[in-house]
Amino acid sequence: MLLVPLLTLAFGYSLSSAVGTSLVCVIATAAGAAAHNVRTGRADARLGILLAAGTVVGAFSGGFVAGYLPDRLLAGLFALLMLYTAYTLSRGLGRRGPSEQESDRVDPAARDGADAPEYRGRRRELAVGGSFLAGNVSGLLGVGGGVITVPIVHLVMRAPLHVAAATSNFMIGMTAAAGAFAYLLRGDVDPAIAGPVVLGVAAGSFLGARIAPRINATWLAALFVVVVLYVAFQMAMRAIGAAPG
Amino acid sequence: MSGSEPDAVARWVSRTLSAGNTLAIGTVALGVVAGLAGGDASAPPGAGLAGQIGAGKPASIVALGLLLLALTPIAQLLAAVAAFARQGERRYAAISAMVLGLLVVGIAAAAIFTHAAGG
Repeated sequence: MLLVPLLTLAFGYSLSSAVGTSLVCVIATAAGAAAHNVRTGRADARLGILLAAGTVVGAFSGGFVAGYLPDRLLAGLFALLMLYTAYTLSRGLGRRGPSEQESDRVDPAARDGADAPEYRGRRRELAVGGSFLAGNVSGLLGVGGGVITVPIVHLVMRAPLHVAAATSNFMIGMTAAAGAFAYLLRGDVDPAIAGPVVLGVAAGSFLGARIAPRINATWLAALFVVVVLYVAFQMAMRAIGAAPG
Repeated sequence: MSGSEPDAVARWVSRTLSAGNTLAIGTVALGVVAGLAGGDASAPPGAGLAGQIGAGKPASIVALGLLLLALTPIAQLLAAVAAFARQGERRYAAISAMVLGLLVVGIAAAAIFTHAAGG
């Protein structure tokens, strides 16, 4: 989420190079997390595959459209995405979802049939449509799309939050791959930049997963909201031409 | 959660993701270390992915690692198709195959556009 603004605002890379590099990093972090979540039965692979049909098509259309949009418009769209993220985080995503007791009874790894979790069939068409939108955002802006898919699975389908997050991670790699190939094939991803960034992101993700349980989640979310708002402001400045682009 | 034993889908998909990710990040790390050890870390200017990999520099090893990373979700889908089919879940095997087909067609289209544009 923060990699594209970091590479463009702090290091002066072009938006297309930053988006391509970010998508490759998204695959690296999502693949590691998804492997763990699927193995431990946290992710709903069946729902993830279904929703990935929407995100993959969306990622291709987003990546295609991105090639025709000026950098300033993309920066403006990124600023809007950051504002939406800050709003979602500050509102507390988990408030309207199912209760903890409810989530304890859910088995996301169950096959279809009597044991299948109830949320899997709930508002499925709406969820696939929302996933298409998430894929477009991913292909356009080089993010995973979890900021849209987690609320879809949690609030629209009413799956428990931890299932929504794990299932979103399961499909993020496929979504990001759909977008990443266009940038890789064009040579927009410079190995001299992307190599160290991928290693840094993979190491950060590994350490973060181990440190996270010891950190106060509320303070972490509050800090993230401040950072996201600052980045949104910087991207908005770039969109209106008040910052170097 | 039920805490039941992981089924074929969970086992195959998680193993494929772990193996793909480890191989890709290991390859990227090898290229970065080779670049730091004195090799030329830069990619040929204006080269597409094929040109980057074929340049025979440390950057080529990194580019190969990035390609392996991007191929990992495709391997994930192949594993899902095989595992769902093996368990007799035809519906999900078909959906996985459809998503895999969409990815492959999209990548082929991107490759054709890039080639036509001289990338």
